[in-house]
Amino acid sequence: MRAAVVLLCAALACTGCRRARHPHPELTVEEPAELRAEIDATNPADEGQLLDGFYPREPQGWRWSAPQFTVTLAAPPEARGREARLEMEFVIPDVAAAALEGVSIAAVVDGRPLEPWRAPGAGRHTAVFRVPAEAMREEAVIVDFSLDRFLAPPGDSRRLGVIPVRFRLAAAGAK
Amino acid sequence: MQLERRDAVLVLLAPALMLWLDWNGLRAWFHQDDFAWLALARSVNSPESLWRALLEPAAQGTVRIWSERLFFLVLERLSGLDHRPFHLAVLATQTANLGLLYWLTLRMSRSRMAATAAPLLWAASPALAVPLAWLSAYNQILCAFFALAAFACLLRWLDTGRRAWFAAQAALFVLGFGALEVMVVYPALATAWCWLERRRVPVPVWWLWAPSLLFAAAHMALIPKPSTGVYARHWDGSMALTYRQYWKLALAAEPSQGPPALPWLPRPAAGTAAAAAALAWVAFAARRGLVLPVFGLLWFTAALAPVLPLRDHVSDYYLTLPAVGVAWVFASGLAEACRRAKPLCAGAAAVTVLLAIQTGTAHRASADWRYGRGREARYLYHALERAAELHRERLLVVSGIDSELFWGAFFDARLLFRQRICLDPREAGQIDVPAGFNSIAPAVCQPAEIGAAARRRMLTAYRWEPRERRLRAWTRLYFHRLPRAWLELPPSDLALASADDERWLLHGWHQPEAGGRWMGREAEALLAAPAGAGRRLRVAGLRPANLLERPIELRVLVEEREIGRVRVERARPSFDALLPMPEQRGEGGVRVRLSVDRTDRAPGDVRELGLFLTRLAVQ
Repeated sequence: MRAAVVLLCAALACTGCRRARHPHPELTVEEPAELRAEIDATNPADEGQLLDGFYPREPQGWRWSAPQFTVTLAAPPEARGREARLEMEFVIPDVAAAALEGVSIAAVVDGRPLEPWRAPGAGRHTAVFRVPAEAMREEAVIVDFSLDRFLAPPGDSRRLGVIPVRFRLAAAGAK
Repeated sequence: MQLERRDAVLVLLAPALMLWLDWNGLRAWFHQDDFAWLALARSVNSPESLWRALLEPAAQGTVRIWSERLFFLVLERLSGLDHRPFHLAVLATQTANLGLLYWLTLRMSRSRMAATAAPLLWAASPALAVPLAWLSAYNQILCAFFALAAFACLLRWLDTGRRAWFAAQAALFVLGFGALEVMVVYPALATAWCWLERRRVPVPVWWLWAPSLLFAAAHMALIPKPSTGVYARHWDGSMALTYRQYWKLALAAEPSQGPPALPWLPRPAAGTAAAAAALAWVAFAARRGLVLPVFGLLWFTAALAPVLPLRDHVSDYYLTLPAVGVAWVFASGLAEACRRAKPLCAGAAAVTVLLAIQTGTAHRASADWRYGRGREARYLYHALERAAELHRERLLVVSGIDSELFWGAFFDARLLFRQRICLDPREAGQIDVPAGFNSIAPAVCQPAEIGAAARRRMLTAYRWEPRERRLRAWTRLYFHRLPRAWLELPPSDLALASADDERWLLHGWHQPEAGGRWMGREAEALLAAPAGAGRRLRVAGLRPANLLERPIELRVLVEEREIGRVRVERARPSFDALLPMPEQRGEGGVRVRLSVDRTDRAPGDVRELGLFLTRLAVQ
């Protein structure tokens, strides 16, 4: 009996020491503290700026967008409070050429719709949008993109948009 | 019957079975109400709060000092959120229970076979899975300990006549009230045994009824009994149906208790066969004057009696103590059959094994489910802990929580954090609220508080990723998609010391100063409408002693309805009042008017000064 009590106390003492605990840092995925004005949609380091509407990366590294997708970009200091240029480089693969032929890409920044951009067909393109100065007051902007058509491959529940490659926000006159 | 060397081996069989069946259950992390008890333990920081934590009635008016209050309080102090010492205490108590049951059965049946079988059958009972895995149900295990230990002392007293055994029994019995209210039935069990075994009840045993009657009377008089909801009591014919329902659960005869133990034998059929065998055996035993099976049935019925009126709250773990009676019925049947003839012994053994498999599989499924629930709770809790560590003082709005995780962890776990953690109100409708559960309102953010936190840049939004089992921050997108109207809602806690919330300070306020701002004779502000009943308006402030030659009275009105007055005087120049708020609908906010019965001017200050307000908030 005495041995049992001693054993129990020892076991309690071993397991029961209150230790300062620090939760594992990977239990949360935090947003990037610093945003970049130019991001690569295939680069895992830039994933934090792809806010919504992007499918997981394919084994080859690229990823599909949904028909609506959202990114956040830092406003470059020289573009703050001035007119800016928003670029989106993307690919329409041959398999999606028929479905996405003439697709129109609309972008909204800070609630302001930008002039839509129409893609001519399959291939690699860069959509360019003019961002008014009023939408460039903050340190960062959130851009909501939407496509007027999408690809719905048979046997795949996803609605596919384009394959985004790069997003960039720059001062209007910058190269 | 004397204990022998082989008893030391036989007594270990049931704990071994328990370890096998409950290997996962005994490692289950905290979940559900566990967090509320841990939060209560953490709230103790003064003698008053200790007193409150120990003795203030909890849900349904219970005060289970040993099994809930001290259990969580002491072990939380020793080990924090390490669940292992808690489970070790549960394991130690249940091992003692199984040992006591072995000895009791040996003494009552004079059969080693019965003494071995009864703890094994009890250990396999589905009733024990939950109390062994869920720490908030430790009360069942500890109550069983007090009942079995007291009963063992009774038998020793009956055998030896030594008063010390009776005194020990009485002490254990009274202490048992601090484990679980079911202890109230103990005198009935003691009386029944004395009558069955000796055909007379010794006078001291009748005295055991006094504490029970006192406790029952106090319980009836002091603790309000709900007339609706799952805890409403139904003193009618439904008690018979509830009794039958508990028999089914005890025999694992409900299809919901898991797949059939044997593929060709559905649970209800196996349960019916076992119940028929048990009833036939008890009837036979009653005619032959065999005591233990009859007592087993009485024990089951008496220990279950307090919960039979709870028609709408049938819970398997309420069977923890009653299941001892079931174990006695079957164990005594097995022993008696084996005493009589080999074919009878084989038949009884088949029934017993069948029952053990049927209950054991249900037990294991239940324990494993609890383990899974604890694991999910652990992931969420630690993710919240990390989020709170990174974003101190900010409002944490969480999305993506389903009903099971909400009730298993989120609802109570948030109580362990100092900062406010709540669910996105747009997802509140997706949470199922089972009958008898609390309102989810305290765990859901109000649009007004989200709006206020967003305006002050004090909001962090997370989304629970169930596959990754971690929280993903999405504050930027969350803010981007926030209904703009929420940003225009008045706050529930006005920032009086800054200009941030000035648009909701309607009139009668002076400029902000460090810690708050002065009001004139009358001031008006707009605050978030209190959601739900029971909200209170917190008004805090002060008036310097040099302006308090005479007392001053603050009158508080909400939507032109007076909700209270606060008197400020030289002896107590500062005040912090909580006044009951009338329930309001809509999100437009409520108008709060404050007025004082006199004002003064400080030397060199042209302002008319009423009171210096430091806090105005709906809580």
